[in-house]
Amino acid sequence: MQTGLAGKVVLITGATRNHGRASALAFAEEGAHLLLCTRQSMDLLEETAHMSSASGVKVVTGRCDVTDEEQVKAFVQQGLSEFGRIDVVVNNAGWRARGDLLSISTENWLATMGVNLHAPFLMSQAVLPSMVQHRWGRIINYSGIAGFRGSTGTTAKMAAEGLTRAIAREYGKYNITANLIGPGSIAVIRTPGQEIPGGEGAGLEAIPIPRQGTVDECTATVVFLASAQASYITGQTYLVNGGAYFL
Amino acid sequence: METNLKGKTVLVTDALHNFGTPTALAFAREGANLFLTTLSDHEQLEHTARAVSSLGVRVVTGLCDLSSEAQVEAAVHKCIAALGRVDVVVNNVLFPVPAHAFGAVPFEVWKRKMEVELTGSFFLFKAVLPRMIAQQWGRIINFTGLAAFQGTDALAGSTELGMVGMTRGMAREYGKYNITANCIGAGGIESEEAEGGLSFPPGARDPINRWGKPEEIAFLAVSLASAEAGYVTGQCVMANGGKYFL
Repeated sequence: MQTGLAGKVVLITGATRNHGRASALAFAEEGAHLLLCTRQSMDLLEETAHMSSASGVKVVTGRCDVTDEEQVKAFVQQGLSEFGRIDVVVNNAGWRARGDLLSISTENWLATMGVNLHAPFLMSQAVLPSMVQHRWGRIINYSGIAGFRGSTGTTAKMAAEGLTRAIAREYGKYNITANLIGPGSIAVIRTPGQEIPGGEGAGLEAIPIPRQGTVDECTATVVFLASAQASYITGQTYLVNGGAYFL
Repeated sequence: METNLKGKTVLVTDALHNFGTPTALAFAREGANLFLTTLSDHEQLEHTARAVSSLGVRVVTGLCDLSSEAQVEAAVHKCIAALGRVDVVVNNVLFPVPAHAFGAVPFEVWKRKMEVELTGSFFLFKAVLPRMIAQQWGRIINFTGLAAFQGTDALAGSTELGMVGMTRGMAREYGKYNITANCIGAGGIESEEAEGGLSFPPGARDPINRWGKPEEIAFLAVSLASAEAGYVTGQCVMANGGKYFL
């Protein structure tokens, strides 16, 4: 498939490992230049950058707390100075509040609001002027499966779906699309405190594809949504979950 | 229809806005007692409370900024102290912001709307759910709207779809206690226009080509709270004249 991504500039948040790193590598293979950030794991980010640049693309890295308005603006400005444009944004950074509503602390709730909702707001607002100028853009946000199955901890992600739909409606006329990918249970390295209760893969025997997915199976969808061919798809949620939930 | 709401206590947030007052009146007609909150307009709230209590039920009021966890706890405490329990929450929370082009939404405005409507609701349910669990019965009614589904406004659409997510979450997490949580998806209701926010006027292509009435929303709230709606949970019931089919 010809994705038309060669020479495009792709911004990926939280590109240190898992989905973020896999997306960086996949976009680099398509010939896209990369603008990568992390809040604190600069070592891992540089590792991703090193691996990606093997594809012969330019990679720019930066430290950015994506919940902070000034830092987001500064990071996007850095990217625009380096590349002159930003074509694709993958708002990959995420934070999960597990457990039922009464067990979620206010601090953890606010963390999900910041990373899962405020970050896509800030990042999208910062990059859209460049996309409008070039009459082309792709915004890809992360949803998940928990919000559909029922989990108060993913309220912020559902709100980000509302945001994505609004961006899709407002910017479609500039050939800018905004979509979401909703991964199900995917085998990833978890941040301490973000582990799955019961262990990886628990309870998946009953889903149509009875296993965990891989990050590469998600990345394929991200690259597709960013591709030239996906130009008539906007405001949608693409679920990659082994059939665990049918939208 | 026998709703079995007589003697139950219904807490209504932002009772002066949106669908608050007509909903309070509808519950009062079923014999439910009411606890009404609003952000700051004490005088108007008392005026509304008198209109509701003239239907022969007990009405207690409290000012409450939902984005303050302490104020939410105090309001729920006052409700329990005065009325003995809280059975139904009509979470009519609304932080009205005029529709903006997305690029022109100030982050502070965005954040405030998210904090009041989503985080405020989180605080509210943290305060009421333990009571509902203790009595093994509860009804939670949230509101969503057309912007969530049609993408017509980033501010409203985000909180509206967030409310859908929170509703589904509570439905799953607390169903075992006979607590249901549902959303009413209102759109094209005449009172919404009066709020100065987003409105969806009737159009020739709409299946029902007229403004909806707030009373039509209040009816849905009462029916979702009724005893016989006990198997309905996690749903969005859309009342929008057929403008959007879920």
